Amino acid sequence: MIGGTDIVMRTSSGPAALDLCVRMIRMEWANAVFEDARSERYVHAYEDLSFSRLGEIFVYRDAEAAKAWQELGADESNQNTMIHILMSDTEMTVVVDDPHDAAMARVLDSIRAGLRMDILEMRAAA
Amino acid sequence: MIYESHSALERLLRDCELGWMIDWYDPPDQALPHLREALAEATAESRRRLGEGAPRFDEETLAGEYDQNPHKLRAFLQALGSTRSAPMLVLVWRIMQGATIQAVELTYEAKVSFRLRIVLTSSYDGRQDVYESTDINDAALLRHLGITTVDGKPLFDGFYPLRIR
Repeated sequence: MIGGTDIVMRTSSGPAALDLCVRMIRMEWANAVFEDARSERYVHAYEDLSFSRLGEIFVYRDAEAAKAWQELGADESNQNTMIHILMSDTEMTVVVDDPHDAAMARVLDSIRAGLRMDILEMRAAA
Repeated sequence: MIYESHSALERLLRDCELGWMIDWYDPPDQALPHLREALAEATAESRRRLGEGAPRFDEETLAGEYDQNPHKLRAFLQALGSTRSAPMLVLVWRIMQGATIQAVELTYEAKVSFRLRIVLTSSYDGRQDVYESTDINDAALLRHLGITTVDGKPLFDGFYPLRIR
């Protein structure tokens, strides 16, 4: 069995922050497959994701990884092939198996850098 | 006379805090026809570039996107308030749908010239598409781009709404 490491990042940007997080993961995993953790519905294309309804999502490296997780769950062979994201009003929790794995470290760094983008937090004058 | 205050487009604009796009238009009752014309031009441009399966920008599509991804629709309608260029609206939509911003070139000389050229790469087939403008007002669209780094390297990614409140 593999375990997860929770990385908590503060953000109040809701769906836009989750969108950004998914886009950053796609930089590493171009063929990522998504699962709405609540409805257990799989989504194979980024543009079909409905971020307003996603509070929790599993992002698999690809369709093969999604299938392996379905069949084996948290088996050692599935290490670092899925990222679990949970949103709240004030923070995003990203769960990875090994944050020191090179690919996971790149993804986490990209998400952290992305969440610092001023467009997510800066208010324009009304 | 058909009173259009409850049209889908007006509802979307007001929900996205963009009612000024109607109220400040001169005359205000021509705002929605004007915006619909811009959307129709964008649909035609989209089809010209991407074929029959290209994105459409009718009110039903926009309302559906607002339901599923309000942050994206807000950003798109803000862009609609900034540009009259159909190619630029297609560009915005494609970035929001996941296309990679492969290259950006901006040249400008005060009171002489402005040129913006953006190359997108499809995340599915790698196809590249070029979008160009010589209207300096389209520089406003650059404010919406996500600006970040990946692995220490520069990246423009995503098209985000300006937050009004």
